[in-house]
Amino acid sequence: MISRFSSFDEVVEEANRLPFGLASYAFTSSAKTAAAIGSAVEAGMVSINSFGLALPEVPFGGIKDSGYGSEGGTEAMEGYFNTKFISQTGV
Amino acid sequence: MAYSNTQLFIGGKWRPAHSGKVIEVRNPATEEVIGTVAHAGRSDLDEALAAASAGFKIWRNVAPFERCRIMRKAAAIMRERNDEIAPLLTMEQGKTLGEARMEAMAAADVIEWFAEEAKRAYGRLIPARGPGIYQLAIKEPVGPVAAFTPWNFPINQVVRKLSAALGAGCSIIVKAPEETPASPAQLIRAFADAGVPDGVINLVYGVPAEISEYLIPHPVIRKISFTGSTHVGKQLNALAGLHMKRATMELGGHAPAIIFKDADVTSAAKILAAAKYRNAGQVCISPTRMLVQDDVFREFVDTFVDSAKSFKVGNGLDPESKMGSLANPRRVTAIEGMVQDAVGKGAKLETGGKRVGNKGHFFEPTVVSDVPKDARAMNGSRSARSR
Repeated sequence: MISRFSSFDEVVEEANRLPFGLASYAFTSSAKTAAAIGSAVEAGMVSINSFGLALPEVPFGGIKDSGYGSEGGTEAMEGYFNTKFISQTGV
Repeated sequence: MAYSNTQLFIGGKWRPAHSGKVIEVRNPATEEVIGTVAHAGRSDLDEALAAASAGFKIWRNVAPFERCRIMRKAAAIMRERNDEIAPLLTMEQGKTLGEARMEAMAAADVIEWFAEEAKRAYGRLIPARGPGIYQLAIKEPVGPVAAFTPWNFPINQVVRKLSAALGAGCSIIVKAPEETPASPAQLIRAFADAGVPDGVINLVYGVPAEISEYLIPHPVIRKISFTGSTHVGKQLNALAGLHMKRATMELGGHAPAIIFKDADVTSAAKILAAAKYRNAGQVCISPTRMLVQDDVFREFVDTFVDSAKSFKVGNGLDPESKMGSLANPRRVTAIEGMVQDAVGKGAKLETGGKRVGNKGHFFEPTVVSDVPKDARAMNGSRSARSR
């Protein structure tokens, strides 16, 4: 599905219109636009100028109705650990 | 090429369900029954729970260094058996043999990364307020995990959960997809053959809702990991919450892809078309809404359509095929409906839009442009997504 937009604000509104927030992609040659869109999109993953997602060492996951938690990177391991605190005195 | 029937794997043994029940498995490219998968009942699940409980007591005490060694061996086995595993994946899921090979190979990379990470579960030593006091924050495995995975990447969806859980020291019960059972079973077999102790990994199939409703509340299970639709994910997460279980939820997406006028438009169109038609579009991170700035709209559409047309559709086992079958008849109906709805509301059909042939769930690579916001496909009703 291909649609049109004219302004930055308009496209951000459309990108964030749905309750989902898993992957997103943007293509631009402007560093300023890349930084702005990377910040503005409500998604767990943003890939700019390539298809750069889903390697084992990088976080993989969504926000909003796309869920929570990660299936990649050190964040994925955290999902399988409990933190235990131990205070040990005088031994 | 031979397809194999799939059994349950419980407590280190491959076996049929106690009831003897099986579910038929069909090849989506031919619609023929190619085998069966064992259908677990309550007594099978009880055995899997007992095995996972016993397995956790063993595995949590296996040193991370040793866990890593065993996991790396499983990765090596996955690479050695690629020629054997990839055709099973193609026959049950429909993707091309090239895609199947890559998925099975990528599983080895995932296993290795988490195997190494097992050795780096560092805690913290927190400065104390007096002498002779040690304040430690340590990481402990959460416990037996119940994992539920979908059919779009039958191996990859399991391996991420399995590898992270095993690396952390957890045991696991995997409920893999009934429509694509043989390839995830081969992944489990690789771990078993590598020397993971009996009970640490268990594999079941059956009626998904019956299994999740039994495993999630069960006191043995301490963590839920689910990949699938938002609709089902919310139900499972509610159940997990009711029983205070940790959960990881990887749910549906509807990815925007934004092409600004200063982009390399040709490159963007080619990258996005390749991403779009990978796995016949049945990818949760697949770009779905291409949003193109006015000045470069037509240039983008023309290049994207050219790329789309280059994806030759056919049986995934045929080396000429660049896009395989959809995984099941539900997808064909869903896509037909979305295309009709979009065109009916004013979208322009640029290419594709129809089923290919009358046997097998093949669909043309399809492009629609100027899709109105109220079209169903732009809103991600449940049927609008890959899962």
